[in-house]
Amino acid sequence: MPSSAWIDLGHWIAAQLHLPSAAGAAIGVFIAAFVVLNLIMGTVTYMIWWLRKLVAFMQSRLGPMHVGRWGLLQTPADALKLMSKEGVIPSLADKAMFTVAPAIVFIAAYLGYATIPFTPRLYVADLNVGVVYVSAVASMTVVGIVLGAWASNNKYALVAAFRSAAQMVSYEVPFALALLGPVMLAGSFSFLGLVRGDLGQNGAQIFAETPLAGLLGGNLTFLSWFVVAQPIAALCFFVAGLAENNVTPFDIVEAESEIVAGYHVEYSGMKFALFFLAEFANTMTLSVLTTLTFLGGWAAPFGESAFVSAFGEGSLITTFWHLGWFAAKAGFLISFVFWLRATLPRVRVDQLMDIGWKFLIPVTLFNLMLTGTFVSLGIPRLALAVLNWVLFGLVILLGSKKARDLPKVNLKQPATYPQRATVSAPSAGGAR
Amino acid sequence: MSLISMLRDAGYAIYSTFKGLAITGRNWKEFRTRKQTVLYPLEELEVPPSYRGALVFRPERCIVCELCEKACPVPGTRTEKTIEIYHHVGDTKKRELDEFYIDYASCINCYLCVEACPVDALLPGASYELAMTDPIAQFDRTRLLFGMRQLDAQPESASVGSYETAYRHITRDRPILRVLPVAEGDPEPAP
Repeated sequence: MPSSAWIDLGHWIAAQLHLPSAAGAAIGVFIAAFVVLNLIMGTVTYMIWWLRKLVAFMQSRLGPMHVGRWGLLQTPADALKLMSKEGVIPSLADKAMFTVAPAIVFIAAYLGYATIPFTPRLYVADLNVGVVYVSAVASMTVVGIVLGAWASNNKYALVAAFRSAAQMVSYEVPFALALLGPVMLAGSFSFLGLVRGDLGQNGAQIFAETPLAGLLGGNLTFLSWFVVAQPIAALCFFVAGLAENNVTPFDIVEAESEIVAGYHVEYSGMKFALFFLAEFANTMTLSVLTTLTFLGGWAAPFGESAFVSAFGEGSLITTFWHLGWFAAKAGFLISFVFWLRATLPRVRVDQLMDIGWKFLIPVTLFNLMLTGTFVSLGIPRLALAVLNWVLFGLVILLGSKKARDLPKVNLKQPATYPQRATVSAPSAGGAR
Repeated sequence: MSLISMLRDAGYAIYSTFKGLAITGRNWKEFRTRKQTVLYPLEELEVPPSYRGALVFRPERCIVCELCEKACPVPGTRTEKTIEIYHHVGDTKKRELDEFYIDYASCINCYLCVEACPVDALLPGASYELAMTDPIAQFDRTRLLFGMRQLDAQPESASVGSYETAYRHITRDRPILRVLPVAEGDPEPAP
């Protein structure tokens, strides 16, 4: 098992400076934290640009065009503007708490990356309870939101924060429950273990018994991703994550078109920017988590083992190969979130609570029971995958039947509206 | 709520979500042909033929009847009326035009002067760029007092546009609401 590249780098620096090895680990962690922080900042900056461009293209607009080519410098310019603005603190606000709250929200979004591995070598700490840690840290956001709203001494912000707390706390449950299915299959709570379970070293059953295994020389590695064995859990996890991060269609908390900011109405300047940054960092975290748990992390869909054995598991080129696949998958998921944002209308508050408590929690619990039964009885993963997909297909079939029963609207044909007949039509000119 | 109806609703939600995603995705893929935006300062929007922009004045047609000045309902900011006409009586006892002003600081584009003009010296214009700045005194209202040479140089809206050029940035293959002709004697359609 290759060790963490960051810690190795820290040890190397410590050896050069003749420091004790404990200092080496600290240096490595510090470097990793610095790099990841800047990675988040940079990615989030261009995520905002990409959101604006993608949504604009889907709505037949152009998006940012003037600052830099294709508006590429628009979001850095926005960030500079926010940094140069005055940070107004309301006179009746609790100043200390008002200042601390955006930091808590951003730190909660940032802390999760401590256990998230980008490749088999690029991770800071491989906690054996990584999944639990990430879902615990993600729920810290609520504290910052409620604290900020309470400290800003504004009743509208407070109401919005309560709504946000209700939403995020209720979606914590299906979020964690959906993660437990893959955890059971992989037999590990750590992300490295999860991805290795994906890759089939721990849970190779799906491969060994399929006739497909022989195809392409056993290179159909994507069949061992958890999205194949656990499609229902993957969907529930993604939906719960969307709701927890207040993304469309669950963005009741800060509905951009109606209530402009919700819980952070009183914030301006860099404090507001931290809230905004944390929101997009949470979307990124959701995409990264989904990639790691359900889409095989850094694994290529085909020919993974051949490439790795050709270049060596810990080598630089393999690291970049893994990083590329990871970025491609996470980037697709981020774009998918934005795609949903361009497409879907918002759900109502009661619908939101219904989806969380009456649908996602029972379904994830059912999935938990099903997976637990299969794992404890030692039934191969293939049977679980087939059962999952059959159930999934049945639900879609029921839904499409409902869609067929609805009255038809043909989008290809131009809509025609019959004109009202006029009361006294002049006969000389004829009817129009 | 029975289990089956709950599952049916869930399936319908997933199904219709992906249907919606297909629509926005197709729009994204065919963005170049479906673009609606005109990058205004860089690209110019051509106006349709009936556009009511800045007025065009043809001094050679003007007979100085001053009907436009009488028709004008708005007092000007610098002048007594929005339209100001200066003339002298020539050798043939005919009025000859010296200067013709329209004060765009007060003109409301009501086009009563265009309707009043008996010789079509005042015409509908196509120009929509009426914001004027002075290089020295940046925002000076007197810059909006258009003289007759300036008004003569404005584009005429009938000579500019056709509907095809005016709306060519909007794709034609998307569904457009059309009105069906209803034959006479047809019963009134149910609302």
